[in-house]
Amino acid sequence: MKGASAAAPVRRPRTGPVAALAGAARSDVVRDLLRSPVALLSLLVVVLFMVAAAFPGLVAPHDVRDLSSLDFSDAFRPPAWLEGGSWSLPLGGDDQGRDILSAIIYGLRISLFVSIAAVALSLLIGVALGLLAGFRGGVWDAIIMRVADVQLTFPAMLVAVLFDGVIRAALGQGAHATFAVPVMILAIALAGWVQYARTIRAATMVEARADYVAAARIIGQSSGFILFRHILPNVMTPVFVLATIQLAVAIILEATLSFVGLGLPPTQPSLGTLIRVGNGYLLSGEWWLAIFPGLALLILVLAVNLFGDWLRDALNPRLR
Amino acid sequence: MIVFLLQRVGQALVVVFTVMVLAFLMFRFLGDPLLAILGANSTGIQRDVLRAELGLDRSLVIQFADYVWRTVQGDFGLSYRLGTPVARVLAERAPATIELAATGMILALAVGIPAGIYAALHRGRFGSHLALAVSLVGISMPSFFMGLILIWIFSVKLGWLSSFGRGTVTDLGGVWTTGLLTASGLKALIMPAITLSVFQIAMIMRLVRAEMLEVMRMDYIRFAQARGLSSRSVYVNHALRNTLVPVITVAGLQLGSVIAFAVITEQVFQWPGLGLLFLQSVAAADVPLLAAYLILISVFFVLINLAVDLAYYAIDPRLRADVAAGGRA
Repeated sequence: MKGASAAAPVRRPRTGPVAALAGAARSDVVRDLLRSPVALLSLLVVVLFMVAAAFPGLVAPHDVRDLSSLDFSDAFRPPAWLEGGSWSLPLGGDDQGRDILSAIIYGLRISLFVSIAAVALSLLIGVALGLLAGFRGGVWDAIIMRVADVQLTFPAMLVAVLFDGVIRAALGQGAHATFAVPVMILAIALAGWVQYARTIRAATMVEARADYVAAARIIGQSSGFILFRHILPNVMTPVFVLATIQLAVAIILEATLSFVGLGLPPTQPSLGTLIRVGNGYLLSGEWWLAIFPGLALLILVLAVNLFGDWLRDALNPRLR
Repeated sequence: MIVFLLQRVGQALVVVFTVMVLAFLMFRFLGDPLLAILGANSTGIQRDVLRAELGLDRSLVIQFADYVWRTVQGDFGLSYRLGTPVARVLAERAPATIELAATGMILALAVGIPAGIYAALHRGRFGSHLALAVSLVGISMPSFFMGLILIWIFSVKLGWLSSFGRGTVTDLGGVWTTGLLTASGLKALIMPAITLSVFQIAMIMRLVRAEMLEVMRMDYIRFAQARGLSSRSVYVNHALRNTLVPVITVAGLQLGSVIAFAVITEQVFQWPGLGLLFLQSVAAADVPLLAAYLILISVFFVLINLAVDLAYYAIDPRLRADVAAGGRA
């Protein structure tokens, strides 16, 4: 058997976020998850929503982007279980005879795309600046943290609204409709980076003084190598927890901006846009236009929050 | 103490100055003020005259100094959209927002603190679980959707409350309009105030509960119980008092986000305050108004933060010791 063991590939020490997650999976986290019905259910809901958003064609009864499939006689058709409802439009029809359920699923796609992209972008900005501030220190640290302090003075909601407003004023009304999605992503990302930067900076400062970093320096590894291969994997765990909770914040921010009319236009309706449009018909009694997209939004945010709460506790060694 | 105070005031000034620079740059480079005032059909000569009149041909630094000087005096220029002085528009709209935010905050404290204490003291019981579950929904509920549900139930279904506006307002000496003195004004305040406070109630409740549980684990609570003090005395005099320090801090900071969320609530209920004005200005790219709003809000936030810092410093003796020992405040 000696030959066989020599031929086996040398197992490289794994690093990076994937390894951090794999490590977490090997530990008790998965067992914890299976034992917590609330966490399991919320994860299930999140996954379900994400699958529906990723493959709307498979899940949605109608393709709402196909205008020829719309039937004006379905306009304001109530939900199926009410008088005048039909099961071809389970949650009723909107002002143009669009199926609300399908509109929600396609809206979910846009909402989730914007929020996930925004969280990824703000994570990238925050982690990069946090590493820089924590590892370099000095002037870099002072500048980055001052900016963070100034921004933290204001709530994320206001920062996002202001960024969106400023970018909108800079681009002009016409151009804004074209760039609505990237502008939204940028506005939400810029509102959220500070959290990551502060977390990463604090953790990096601790890790930078650790013995393994000194050892890596002694054997002549470059700063960049040490930063990305040694320190980064060790400071990423809290970032995942933060990203989960920030996803809930981003979803709410996107919906809110779209609701007040600063976000996505009716041509690219996100959940918030759907609620905005439906809001106009609430007073005349067609409640399903606004309430169902709102419920979908609420369930999604609730599930993400519940899962985030659980993840934070599960990955916190002090609570074990 | 004086060093700490100066440090904090210095930081506050840096924030306000930064925001002023941003507001000035916005003012100067977003859109064309000449076009906004004269219209697209103006001639080049007309524009040159106005440019000289407005002082836009001077160097940027001088323009900025001039801008700061006028801003400090409360002159924010003319609104592009309304054609009236920005300062006057802001003053007209401010009472509505202040009344709404204050009512929302009082509601949040009045409900959030008792609910948090209840959840902490009756840990593990049904009522406590229920309170926690409700608070989680409260945190996850986008405020505009909350407003929508309230309108649906109380305006559309039951027809009890009006879904928009402030009701009848009373003019107090031309400087302040209040909705608190008439029945319709008070009724109009109910739904917006609830909408605004739901998130705050949930947050304050969770915070009070967590702090209370933390404090209840301390030795001095157990000693107090061992001394045979009534549970009421232990909870109120020993536990609650120590819980309230961080709660007051957070509540103070939350006042800022109540103002921020008021933008959303005002939109839902068409409440004629600063937030609605801000959204209308964004839609119309009314830069002078946006810039003024930005400065006003930042001054407000900085003042809150400063007040909270100072209150914390006055309440918590450990901070003073830290500063004296040369630690970071």
